[in-house]
Amino acid sequence: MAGHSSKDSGLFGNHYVRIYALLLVLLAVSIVGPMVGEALDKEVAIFGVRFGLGITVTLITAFGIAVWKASLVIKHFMHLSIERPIAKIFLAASVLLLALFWGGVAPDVQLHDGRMWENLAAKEAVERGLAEPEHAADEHAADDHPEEVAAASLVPTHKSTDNLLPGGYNLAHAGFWTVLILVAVGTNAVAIMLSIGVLILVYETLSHIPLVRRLLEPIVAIVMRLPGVGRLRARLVGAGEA
Amino acid sequence: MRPIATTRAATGIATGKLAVWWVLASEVVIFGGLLASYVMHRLGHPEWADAAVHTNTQIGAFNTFVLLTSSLTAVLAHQAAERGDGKRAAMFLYFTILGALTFIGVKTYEWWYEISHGYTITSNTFWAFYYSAAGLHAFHVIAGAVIMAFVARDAAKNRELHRVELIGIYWHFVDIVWIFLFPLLYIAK
Repeated sequence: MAGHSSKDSGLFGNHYVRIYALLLVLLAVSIVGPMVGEALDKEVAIFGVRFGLGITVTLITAFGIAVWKASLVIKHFMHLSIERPIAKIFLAASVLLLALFWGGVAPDVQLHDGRMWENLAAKEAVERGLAEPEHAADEHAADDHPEEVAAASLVPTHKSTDNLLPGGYNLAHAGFWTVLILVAVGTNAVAIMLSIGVLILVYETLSHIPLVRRLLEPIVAIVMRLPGVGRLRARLVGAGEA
Repeated sequence: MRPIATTRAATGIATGKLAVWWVLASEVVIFGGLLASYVMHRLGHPEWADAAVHTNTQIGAFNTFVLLTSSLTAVLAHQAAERGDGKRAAMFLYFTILGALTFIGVKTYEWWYEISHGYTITSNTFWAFYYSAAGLHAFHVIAGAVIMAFVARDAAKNRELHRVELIGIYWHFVDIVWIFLFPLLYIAK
């Protein structure tokens, strides 16, 4: 944070120790909370929807606090909140891509059946695992015959030629394909963004060589004159440090 | 002569630091994809709870404490570097490396114990995820500690002090990954 040292100097020292102490308190809560949650078997109703009190306490104390702890580290130790927008854009693009991946894949992985399909292999694995917990290692014994698994695992429960989409799924999977396309678009967007980043890094690295600078400067000047480029750069970079 | 990565920047952000954020952006997808796959499978396989019950919460909690402490020493090293005190920065970086070694030592004992009790990467899918995620993370801890040793050596001579912040940002990310691995692998039984 070379550009923020004077601004932060009052925060240094005790500030970090206080954040560290808070992180340790949160760590303790994240350990004790799920133990308390395990002991609770009541149900609570929120806006008419019933939740198990124990699982709610566990989720909040284990995962809610993990998010809180991570945000403290990101803000106070990594100083992302006072970082240039371009760093935030890089990270946000990755998180968005991840969210799209999750949204696209989750319907087929988390669930073992849908309106017109059923993942028999996964269901059998669950049944086998629950029946013989100590032998759950065998849950993928069928992996010895992958072709059988491929044939048996996804079985359409209703053979309809109406509104079929690729893969034998019905219209309910239109959402899946939509998200998949968004993931593909997102991947390309990130690839383009990273390519631009590589060009910037190459420019930064090579432009101190006089010959390269003489070759590159006219090109950079042309790019900077393109409509909107100056405004975009000002927005990404902000005023001041360069 | 200062390195070009600290003094020139078309983006308004020092190029070295931009490269670190860039690496972290790709790490978000690497670790995020792995953890998202784990969560999706875990939600679909209630029987994994029988395997998850064998992970040692106390050891996981202790390692979380170690990494949080090492994050504190990393940011204190950054503070010292900002003030131009290379020796102090190096001292805090060495403390951070000590944290990394402690983490790896504890992890080694934990894995030795689990493997000797028959819980190996091929036992079932839960243990496959467990060893993959924790192993990938441990690899990042080792890599960070090695790089930090080079940065600390230079910092002690008041050289390349800007790199103290760069390795610190990476180290905090490694800490954040563990903050999420801990509840996923050790708390959610």
